[in-house]
Amino acid sequence: MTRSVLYRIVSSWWLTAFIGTVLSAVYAFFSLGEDAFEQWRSFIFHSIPGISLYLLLTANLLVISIRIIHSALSYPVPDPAAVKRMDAHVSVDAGAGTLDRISRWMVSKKFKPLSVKDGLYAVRGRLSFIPGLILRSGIVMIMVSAVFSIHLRKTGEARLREGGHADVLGMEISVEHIRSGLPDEFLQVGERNMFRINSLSAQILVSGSRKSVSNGFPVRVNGRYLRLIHTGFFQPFTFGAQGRRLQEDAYLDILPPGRTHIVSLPDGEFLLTFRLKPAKTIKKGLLSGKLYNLRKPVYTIVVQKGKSKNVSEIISASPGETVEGKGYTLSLGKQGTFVTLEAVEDPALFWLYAGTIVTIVGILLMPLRFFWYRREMVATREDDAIHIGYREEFYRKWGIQKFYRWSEDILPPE
Amino acid sequence: MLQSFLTSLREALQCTLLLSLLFLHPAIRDKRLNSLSLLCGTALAFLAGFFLSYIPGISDHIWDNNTWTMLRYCTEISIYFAGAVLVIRGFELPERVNSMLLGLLGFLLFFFEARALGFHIHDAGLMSENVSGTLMTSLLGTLAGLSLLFLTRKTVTKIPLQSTLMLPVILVSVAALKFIIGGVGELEDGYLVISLQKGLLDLTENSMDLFQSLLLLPEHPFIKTPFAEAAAFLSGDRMAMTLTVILMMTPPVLILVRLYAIPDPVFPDAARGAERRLRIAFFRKELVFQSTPVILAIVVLIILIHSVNVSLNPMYAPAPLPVREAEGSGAIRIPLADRMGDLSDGKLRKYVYYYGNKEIIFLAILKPDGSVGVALDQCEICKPADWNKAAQGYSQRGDHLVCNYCMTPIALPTVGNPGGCNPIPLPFRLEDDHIVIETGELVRVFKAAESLEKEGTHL
Repeated sequence: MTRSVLYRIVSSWWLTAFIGTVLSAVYAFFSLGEDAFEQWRSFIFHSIPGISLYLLLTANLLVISIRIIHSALSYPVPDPAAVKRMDAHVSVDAGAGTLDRISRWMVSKKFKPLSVKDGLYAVRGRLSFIPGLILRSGIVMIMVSAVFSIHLRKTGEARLREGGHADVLGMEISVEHIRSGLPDEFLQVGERNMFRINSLSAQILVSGSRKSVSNGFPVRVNGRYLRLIHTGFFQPFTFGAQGRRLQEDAYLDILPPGRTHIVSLPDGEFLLTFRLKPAKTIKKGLLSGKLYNLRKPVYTIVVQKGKSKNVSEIISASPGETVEGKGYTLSLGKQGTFVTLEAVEDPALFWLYAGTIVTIVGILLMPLRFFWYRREMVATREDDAIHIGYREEFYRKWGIQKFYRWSEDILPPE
Repeated sequence: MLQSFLTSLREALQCTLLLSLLFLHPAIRDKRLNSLSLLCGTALAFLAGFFLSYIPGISDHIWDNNTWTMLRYCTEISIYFAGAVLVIRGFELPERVNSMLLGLLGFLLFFFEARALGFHIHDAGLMSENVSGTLMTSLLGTLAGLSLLFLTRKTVTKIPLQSTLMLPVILVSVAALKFIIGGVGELEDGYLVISLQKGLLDLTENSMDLFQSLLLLPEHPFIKTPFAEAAAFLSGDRMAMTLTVILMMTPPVLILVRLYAIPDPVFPDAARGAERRLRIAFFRKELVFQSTPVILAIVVLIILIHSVNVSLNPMYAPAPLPVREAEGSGAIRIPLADRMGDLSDGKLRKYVYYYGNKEIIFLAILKPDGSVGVALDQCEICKPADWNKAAQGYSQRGDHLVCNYCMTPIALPTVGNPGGCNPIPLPFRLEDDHIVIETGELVRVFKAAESLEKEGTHL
């Protein structure tokens, strides 16, 4: 296989269609079983045939772009046979000064002709490949960086309260302050959960420098990306039973309201299940709503004891309160908020974002192609005649009609 | 036995229709090798498909039913897109290869049908305890249906479309017909479009999840994530539907664009004047002939996609029929059955009574116990704001009414009971097969409902 044949194959849209069809067929095959997408993803990124197809598709899109740039920017040497193969062509007698006349005629049609060997070459919309190029570049950037991300990404996470600290991916992180957009009250109506937190941020200290991280875009610190991915209630408590006192810090994952969180005490004798208790229940017709006070929450706690944990007691308690149960004492300390901080080491994340932005720009520019397309006009001499050819990238039918109309200016009257 | 005869006849007639379309192409009809190859492929498909599944367990030993259905769908969509490929790039293949491909086309078009038919006939034979009789009547039905192809072949060749039809046009039309008539109705009621749409929904949802995770912006159950709304839109069912439509419409639209992009020909020998105009008119007429099957294919696809969407989301909300007071009676009389339909069909009926500049919309439905439920088309709880009035009232889904605002299903036996999200009951009586509603009562209940609206806090 010669190099030019290989180039033609790799730079072909047919290859794109072929790979797309193969990947679709593989997806269709996996859809016969369970978890089709996960299997498909695993095939593409973790199997040799899948990665080969994926990389071939990436190379294909890259080489297509190179081919398009090359053909768009190069000036072909016009030859009569090629001119006659264009969408439309006319021939005029090659008298003295005819080429100049044709050149002026081209200028009158808003073309800027260049003198090439024995003829003229003019093109409008020469850079019209740019929107497509940007779009393809963005897709290629995403495709390449996705492979690196999937294979090289390292992730670590830690639950932190105000004043807490942890080692995440080798970084010593401590939280100075948490700002949680928790509403003071939340009314839960019906089964569908409408609980939303719009903003969550924390002031952290990483290796001596102060940074702010949030639930928005990740923040880059020391080559790692940090982001807050979860929140809940931090609740310290003291549990006394059988003459012993246990002090515990519970990170209660009880949001959205209604969710439960189980705390198993270290001696294994007691199990505490926390849930938010509604401040009041509102009824209207058949519907009922539960109003939760999230500023001063009240917990419903199911205390289970014994080896089989089948002896249980349900109590209510709020932060700062002490509850005496059957054979135990539970004292809740001052409640706060905790956040789960995710740290990611990913050499390709920047390129993923860059690729996404480039792709979006490409998509936004693509509608320009309706108006911005390539129009070529070529004139070349053959014996006593000058052949003038015309080609439009799109709307060829109208282009041909337009060219014949224009050519009436240059053709001798019949 | 009659049932198996009719089923086989129907399938054979469908086969005849598709083969007739293929025989419209001169390269198939006039070249003996090609037509023979196509017919042989078809015959082989019928024999292999029918007996593969008629003999118990053989096809199931090869693949399960889901795999066979998937293969059928893949085959149909491949034939469909082959039309698009051919129109972009025509292939010049040797004569023998062409005829072999036609044989393969004949086989693929009918193999899966024959397989399903064989299974059905075998089952029908066992049920009627007359296996051989059922098989014979089925074969008879198949032969009767296929014989029509030979009887009508000469007529088909006289249809003027034959000289202008391109192979891509025929392939797309045949495949579009296969989408709608493919499969044996007694066994499969699924359409390729449904599977395609579900597959695309699954693909877009999961791809978006993967992409969001790669950007470190995964969805969270209650914490807002940047661009979560955009991601939800791009991976939602509307996008899947849009992708399905784009995918299904690409081949016929591509063919149409290609056809109509062909410039009017230049006739150097007939420089200008009437002859030139005549030739151009002929050329354009041919274009119309060529595009007719494609346009028909598009119509078929639109009907198919629409019916699929209706079946996927079968919310039924009829437009309200205007009613007025019966003269001098002070009451509205609605017949239980008239030319507008019969209430006994169990479908929701809506009516509108114009009171001044107000529209009082109310509904009537037959409940499962045979009694009639009449109520205002609104409830005490859900009061959509003015900009959201489309969400007012009820639709019917299966054996429930559904509140258009909160989507609460209302069991039909409870229509007429007050409270909750139930429609506000209207006093009425049944008289001479008519629902009679006192206008004064209707207005009173409506005004009471209107006054409730002021307390509402809904969006």
